Amino acid sequence: MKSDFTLDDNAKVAVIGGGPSGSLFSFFALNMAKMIDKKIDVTIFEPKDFTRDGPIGCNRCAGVISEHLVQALAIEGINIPPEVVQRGINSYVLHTQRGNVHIESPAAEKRIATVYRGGGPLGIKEKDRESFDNFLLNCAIQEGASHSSLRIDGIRNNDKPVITSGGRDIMEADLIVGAFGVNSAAWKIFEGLDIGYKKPKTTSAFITELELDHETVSGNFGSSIHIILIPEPKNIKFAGLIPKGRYVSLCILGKDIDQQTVKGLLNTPIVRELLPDSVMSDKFCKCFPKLSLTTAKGGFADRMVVIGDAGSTRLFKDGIGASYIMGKAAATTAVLHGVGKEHFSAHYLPVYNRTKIDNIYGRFVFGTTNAYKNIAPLTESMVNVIKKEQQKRNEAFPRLSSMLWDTFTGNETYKNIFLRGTNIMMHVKLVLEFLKALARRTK
Amino acid sequence: MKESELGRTYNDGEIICSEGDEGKSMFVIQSGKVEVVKKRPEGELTLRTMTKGEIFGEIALFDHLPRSATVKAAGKAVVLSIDKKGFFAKASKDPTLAFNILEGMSRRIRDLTRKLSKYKQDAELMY
Repeated sequence: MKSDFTLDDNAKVAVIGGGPSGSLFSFFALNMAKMIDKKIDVTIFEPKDFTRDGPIGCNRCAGVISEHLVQALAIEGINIPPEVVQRGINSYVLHTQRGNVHIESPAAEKRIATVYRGGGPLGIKEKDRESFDNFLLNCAIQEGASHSSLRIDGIRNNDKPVITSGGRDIMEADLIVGAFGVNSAAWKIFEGLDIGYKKPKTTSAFITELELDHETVSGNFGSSIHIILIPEPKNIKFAGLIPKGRYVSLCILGKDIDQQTVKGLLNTPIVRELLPDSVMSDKFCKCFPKLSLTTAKGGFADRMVVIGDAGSTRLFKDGIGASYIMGKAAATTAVLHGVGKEHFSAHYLPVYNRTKIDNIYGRFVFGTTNAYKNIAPLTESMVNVIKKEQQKRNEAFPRLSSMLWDTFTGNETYKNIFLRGTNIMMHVKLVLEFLKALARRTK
Repeated sequence: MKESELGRTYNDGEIICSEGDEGKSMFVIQSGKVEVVKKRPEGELTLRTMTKGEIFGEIALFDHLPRSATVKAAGKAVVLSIDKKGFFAKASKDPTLAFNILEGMSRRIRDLTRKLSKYKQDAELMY
C-alpha cells in the first residue's frame, strides 16, 4: 500500500458536517491518534447551530437513540446525560387492527433515549434540555476537535485536496470526511469530484411535533414508544408516536405522505385514543425528511471518505447507530491504517458493505411486517402469540416479541432478526393462531 | 426515577450485583456513587467507591468466574446494565469497543499495584 497516504503528526483532517457521523468520526479519530501518540488536527465544518429551535437547528430525524447505541456509547465513555434525554424508554406498544400489545425491554430497564437533534420544536416554550447533536459535537470538541461554522461549498484538487468556501481556499487537507446527510446539499460537492460518488436513492418520511403537556404525555404514553401498524391509510408503512417531554413526535414512513394522510391517521380510533381531541397536526413544527433507501456508490477515494446517511446507513431504523458504526470504522481506518483508497477498500468497505447487505434482509423483515399489518387474520395471530409470550415472560426473551422489539428498536441486525424468524416452533404457534382467527371469522 | 434518566435507579444500600453470582452483565454508572464491598466474618470491607462514567462488573464477563465482590449503591445511583451476549456480539464486530474497558482495567491494576507496594512497605516497617 502507498506509504504517503498515512496521517502523520499534525496531519489536517477536514470533516464536512457536524451531525453524529462527523462528531463521532472526529471523537474516535482523535481518541485513537492519542492512543498511538500521534497528534492530528481535526476541524469540523458545520454552519448549523444545533441549539436553535425549529428546522434551522435540527438534522430532521425522529430522535430515537437505540438500545444498541446507548450501550455502545456508554462503553466508549460517552454517557448520554439526562439533560439531553427527553424521555428514557423501556417498552414499545404495538397498535394493530386486532388489538394492542405491550412489549417490554428484555432487561426491564430504560435503555432507549428519545432526544431532539436540534434545540427542539419551533417556538418551544420550556427549553430545559440540550440538543443531542450539540452534545456529540461538544464531546468531539472536548476530545480536541475544532469547530468552524463556515459552509464548505467546494473541493479543489491540488497535491492534496483543498476545501473552499465562498470561492476562498480554506484548508489543504490530508483527509476530507464527507459527514453529511441525504437532506444536505453537500452531496453535490462530492458528485462533482469525478471520484465515482453517487448519492443514495431516497424516500420521504413525515415528522411533526405535537404539543401536549407533561401529564398527558406521561399518562398516555409513559415510557413507551407507540407503533401504529394499521392497514389504513394505505400509503403508510408504519407510524410511531415518540414521547418527548411535553411533546410527542409523530413519525410516518410510507409513500407520498401528505397532509391528508396525516389527518387520516390522526382520525383513526387508535390514534384518537392516545391523543387529545384538541391536537392539530398542521399547527406544529413539521418536516418531510429524506431517508436513504440504498447505499452510495464510490463512498471513498484517496484522501476522501463519505460517512453517515449519504454513505451507507441502515434501512428505516437506527440511522444514528449506523453513523456510529461508519464513523468509527472510517476513523479506525484513517488513523491506524491510512487514508488511501486501498486502505478504505481494505478496512472501511467491509463495514460499509455489511450494512448494505443487511438492508436486503431489512427489506424482507419490513415486507413481512407489512403483510402482517395488512391481512387481518395474520395480524390477529401475531397479536395473540405476542400476548401469550408476554404473559409467560421468563429470563429468555420470547422469540416473536424479541424479533419485533429488535425490528422497531433497531437493536439488532436485520440478518439476525431474519435468522431468528426461521424458528419452526414460532411458525407453528403463528399458524395455529392464524387458523383460530380464520375459524372465528367464518363463525 | 426521572423520566429523562437511562438505566435503573438503585436506592442507598441496594445491591446491584452480589459476590459469588454468575456474571451475566456489566454496568456503567450514569449518576451517583456505588461501593465495591467484600464480605468478611468481621463485617464488610469497602474496597473502593466508583462514580459516574465508571464501568464495573466486567471482570466476571471475561474470566467466567463468579463475581469477586458485591457492588451496592452509596446513596441514590442510576446504573445502565450491558448484557454479556450483546457486548460480545458488538465486540466481535468491533474489537476496539473493548479499548475503554481495557483502559479502566489498566488504571485499576496500576492503582492496585501502588496500594500493594504501599502495604508491603508498611508491613516491612512493622516487622
